[in-house]
Amino acid sequence: MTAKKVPYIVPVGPIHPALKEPVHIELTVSGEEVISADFTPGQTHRGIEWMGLSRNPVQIVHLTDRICGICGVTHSLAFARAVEQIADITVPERADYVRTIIAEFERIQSHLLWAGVAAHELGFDTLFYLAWRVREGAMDAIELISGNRVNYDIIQIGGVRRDITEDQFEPIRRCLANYKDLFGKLKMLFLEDAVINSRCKGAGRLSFEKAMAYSTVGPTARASGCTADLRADYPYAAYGDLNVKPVLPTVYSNDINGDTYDRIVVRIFEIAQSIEIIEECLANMPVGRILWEEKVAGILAACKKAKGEAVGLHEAPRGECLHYVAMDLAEIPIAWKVKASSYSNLHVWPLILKGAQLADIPIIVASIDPCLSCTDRVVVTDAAAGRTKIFTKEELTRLSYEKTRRLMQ
Amino acid sequence: MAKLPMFREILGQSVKKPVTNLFPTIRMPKSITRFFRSVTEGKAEIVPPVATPPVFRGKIVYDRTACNGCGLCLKVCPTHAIEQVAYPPMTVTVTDEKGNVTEKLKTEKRIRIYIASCVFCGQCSDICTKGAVAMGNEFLLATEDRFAEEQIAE
Repeated sequence: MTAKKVPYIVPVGPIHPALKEPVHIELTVSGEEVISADFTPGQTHRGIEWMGLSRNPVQIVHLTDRICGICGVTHSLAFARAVEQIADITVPERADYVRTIIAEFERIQSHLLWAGVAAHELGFDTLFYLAWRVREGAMDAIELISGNRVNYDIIQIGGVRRDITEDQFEPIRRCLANYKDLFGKLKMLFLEDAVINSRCKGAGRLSFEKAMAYSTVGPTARASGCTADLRADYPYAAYGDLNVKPVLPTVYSNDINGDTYDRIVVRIFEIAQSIEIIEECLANMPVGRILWEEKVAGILAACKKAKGEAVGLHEAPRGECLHYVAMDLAEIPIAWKVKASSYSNLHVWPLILKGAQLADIPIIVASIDPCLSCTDRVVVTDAAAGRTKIFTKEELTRLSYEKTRRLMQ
Repeated sequence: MAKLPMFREILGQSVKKPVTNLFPTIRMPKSITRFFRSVTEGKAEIVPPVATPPVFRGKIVYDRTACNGCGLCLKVCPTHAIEQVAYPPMTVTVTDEKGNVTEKLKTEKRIRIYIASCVFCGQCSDICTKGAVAMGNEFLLATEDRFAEEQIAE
């Protein structure tokens, strides 16, 4: 047996069934410490964009719902906004409000889902179950409005397909009141906990300068102090009528560290912000139509006459989501490109993983809110000796749990 | 317990009823297959799943008699799960106003829906002018054979 040589190279990923965006991360480690990290995106190509190029916008808008399992409205809203700009379609005001309400409910459920997963990665499964139980409230509200829990299919080109009727207001208000009651508890459980404090403070630090230089988006950018929020910067849907201010970690503490803890702070307080936005939307809901054109044939006729290109943006729970669409006097678009928000954030992984411990990888990778199931299969390859050790997700999670236990002693 | 606020929560929850609907049974049976067999025999009962909301989009219910084969649903289906089927010409007897009975050859156009490809967006039921396609309430659709009889609506 040859002598062990440092550094070791640890490839993480790339495929896990639960992963939205499979990614391959390669870490160079010396002992427990990560010296450098690199990653390769684009491991799973489903060809949705290619499928879109043989379908009309009314078909694509429901195809976009299936890009991501958690952002059920994000992609369809961004795509619909792009097509509406090309075809010069004005969305009725009421539809804009329904879109905003659904988008904010999605933010609540997505952030709670993330908070639960983050707790799970720290070995704090009680909090994970609690967060997911609380999340059910938002899922029920979405189910009530759209009919289904996960794939809402509520967006149509030029409006929404389902209206929020008078009798639905009461259950939605009750759900929001419930969240308001729970918010204090959630804040205490996540932000005052000794375990979360000791594991997340200082882990995966991203400075303001680097966050700007790497063009991060969403809560990852805001946790580092960038005031980037599409809802405030380029208002769309009903956000123009609302006073949306980007949530920065300063809402809870005085300084901005840009670490994992700050990302939890931003997400927890964005839940409170979303509750307020929905309440305001429900109070000021305009009356009127919910679709620019009731008949699908009319929408398709407008698409047939459309020529040009446009970018549709939406502030997803994870950050800015971008859809580029080009149309040329045909029902079928000639180009369609999707840039999901996680893609922008992934690039900071090499940066924030540097200097971290192997046991901290799960929480740091998770902190920017991709699916952290990339830690599913880790192979430690000793390049010099040609030996390979396979770390399963369980082992890596166990390392993380053990670190928590060490800290608690 | 200022630093571990979860403790109080756990103590409180230990006396509360679980919020989860215990579907399909309250306790794990020794054998799932035997349990389901006894359910079909009527000896055991299933805890019903949570009720679906009124606007739920489940397995498509297709009414063949109402359909006129116009093919509008083909135009909006995102997954191309619907195909148009032309049934072989058959002889129909037509009686006109004068009472003359004539025999004519008629081709029937209908649709066929592959449930396995369906994404349950409900556009086909929204666009159908005859009300021939509707979104049902059924959601337990797991199958091994995507071309099984219950996986194709025609």
